[in-house]
Amino acid sequence: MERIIKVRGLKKVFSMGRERITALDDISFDFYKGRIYCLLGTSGSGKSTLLNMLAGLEKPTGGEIIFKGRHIEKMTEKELADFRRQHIGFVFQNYNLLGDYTAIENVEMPLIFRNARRRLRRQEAKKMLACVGLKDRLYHKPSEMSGGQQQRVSIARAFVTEPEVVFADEPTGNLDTKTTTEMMELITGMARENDQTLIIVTHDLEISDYADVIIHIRDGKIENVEGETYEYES
Amino acid sequence: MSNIDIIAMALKNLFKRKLRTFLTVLGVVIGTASIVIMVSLGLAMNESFQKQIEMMGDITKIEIANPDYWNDSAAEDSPLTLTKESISSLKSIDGVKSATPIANEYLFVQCGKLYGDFSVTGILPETMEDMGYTVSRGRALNKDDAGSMNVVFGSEMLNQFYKKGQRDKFYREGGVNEDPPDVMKEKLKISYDYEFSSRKADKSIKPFNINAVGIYGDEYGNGYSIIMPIDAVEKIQAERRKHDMKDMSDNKAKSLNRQEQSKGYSQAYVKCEDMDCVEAVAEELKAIGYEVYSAMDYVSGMKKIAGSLQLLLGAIGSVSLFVAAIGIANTMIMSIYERTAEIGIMKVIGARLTDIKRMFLLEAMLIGIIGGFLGVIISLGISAVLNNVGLSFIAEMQSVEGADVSVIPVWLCAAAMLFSGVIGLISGYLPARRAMKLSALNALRKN
Repeated sequence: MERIIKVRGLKKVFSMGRERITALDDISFDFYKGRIYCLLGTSGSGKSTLLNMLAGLEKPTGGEIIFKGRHIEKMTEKELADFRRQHIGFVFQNYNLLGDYTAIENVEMPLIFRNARRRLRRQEAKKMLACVGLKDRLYHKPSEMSGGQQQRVSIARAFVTEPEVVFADEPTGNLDTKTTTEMMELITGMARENDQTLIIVTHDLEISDYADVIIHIRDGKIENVEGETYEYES
Repeated sequence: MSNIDIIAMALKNLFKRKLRTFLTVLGVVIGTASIVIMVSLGLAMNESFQKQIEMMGDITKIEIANPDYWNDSAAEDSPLTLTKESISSLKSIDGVKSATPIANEYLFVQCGKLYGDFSVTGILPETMEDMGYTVSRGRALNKDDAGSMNVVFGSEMLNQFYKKGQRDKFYREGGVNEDPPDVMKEKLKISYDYEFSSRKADKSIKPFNINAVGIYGDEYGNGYSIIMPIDAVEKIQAERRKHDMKDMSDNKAKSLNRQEQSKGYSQAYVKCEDMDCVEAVAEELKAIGYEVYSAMDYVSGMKKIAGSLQLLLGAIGSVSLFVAAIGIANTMIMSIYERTAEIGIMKVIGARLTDIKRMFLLEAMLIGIIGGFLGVIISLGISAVLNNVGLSFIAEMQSVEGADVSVIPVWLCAAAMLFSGVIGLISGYLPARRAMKLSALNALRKN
């Protein structure tokens, strides 16, 4: 099985005035293609920090993150932007849609940054929105949609570029139970269908049921891993 | 990100905040308009100044005089004596096209039954066109007119004819003949006798027959004398001397004649190749020792004044555009604060750093260009109003009637729009960099 992300000795220390807080402490792990991972932990456990660093949004204090042979921790801002555009999709807790743009425009946006042709990207965005069940909401703005619908747009946007890895940060945190189930089925279904790696951050045990591998994080360390069948070499 | 997408996005963002965009654009409009109007005033000033130069006649013509001419003791053997030969040798000076001696006379002309008192300028006939006499009818004098009595009349003289014996009355009544004769058709005679037109005319003075072959003079009325071949003028002068000296002894007359001839000509005209060499030629002639007069002296003085005035006007105009530039920068910075989350999201979903920068730069540039465009349109309107209603005050200051107060050529419109676009670009640069450098994560957290 193909390894996508290799994490070794990852460390993150925040300085708050004089106080130094260790958010992540010596994390080593391997993420493989086509599997669904859940970073499970309480608030403040460091799970979101880990996700941000895997996605190149935050610089680690030490250690290395190797994405298909490339060192993310060594990339410049510009390289990180290129890296995100080419390999990564994002789903956020608060959806993070562009409020001034319609659903279809929001889904189109990553394709615009990839210089896709206008007609082609419209088509792709339409198809994607149909996949997430928003065929009838193409030209609605986020403010005209429910939270569930907004999260569907956000999922469509994350998958439209067919990224190798999709990160989801508490994707259902703002949704009710019924919608949460729908959303989890949608997102995991899409990832499995395209053999994409999905990394979900959550504090919700029920969400972790959808994952192949559950990584319990506590006080910045991996406490234990459930479901991992591969050993990683150091 | 393609240019079309960036433009579409920038326009969308500008339209989203209509009032703010409008106000910022308004600042640029005022700035551009004030520069364009100021420059247009300067240009108009330049234009009317150019007209004034043309009115002064030919500025590539230099007048020189022999300072020793009026000084009897110095006149003889003076190295500055102007003879046909010495004048012809001036042509070897760099930038000199041609040169001619000048003989000025005041003579009396009969045209059919009418009379007129005119100044007569004798020149080498082949130099007439070079010397800037523009012929409006007939032809100019040329080489073949040497020795003939062919003349060219100045256009301003044609209504100066009066009836026999009525000179005083004519000038008392304003000196304008409403029914000018056609000098090119009538029989013409010329005489040095002051009383030629009256009953007291000296019968012993025989007038010369002359023949008008053309009329010269331009729209500014530079045509106040009769142009004659110089040898014809000299013939009349010799005849007059003979008449004046008929009572003298032969010896005295001869010596006077010799003295007169040794003095040469009092004046000459030197024509330069073009405007740029006038000053150098004038300097050279001054260095030789001639008294030199050229309209260029006046022109260069005026040019300096006009130049600094234009600079001042431009500077006044620039102040408001500078203020507008600050306005653009301020608007862009506010817009970035407002859109921090949006920028963060875009970065996370794959926007290049340059995409972000270009987006903001383009917005700033669009404000500049739109403002510049409207500013130019408004200045064209203001310019039209100024020219039609006319600021009589400025027109008077410029002392040229009917001249425009404000002139906006096409290049000024284009330059103004380009300039305001560049101003937009410059004022957008820092805000755009700021947007580019925003941390995506921090931007998202703000949301």
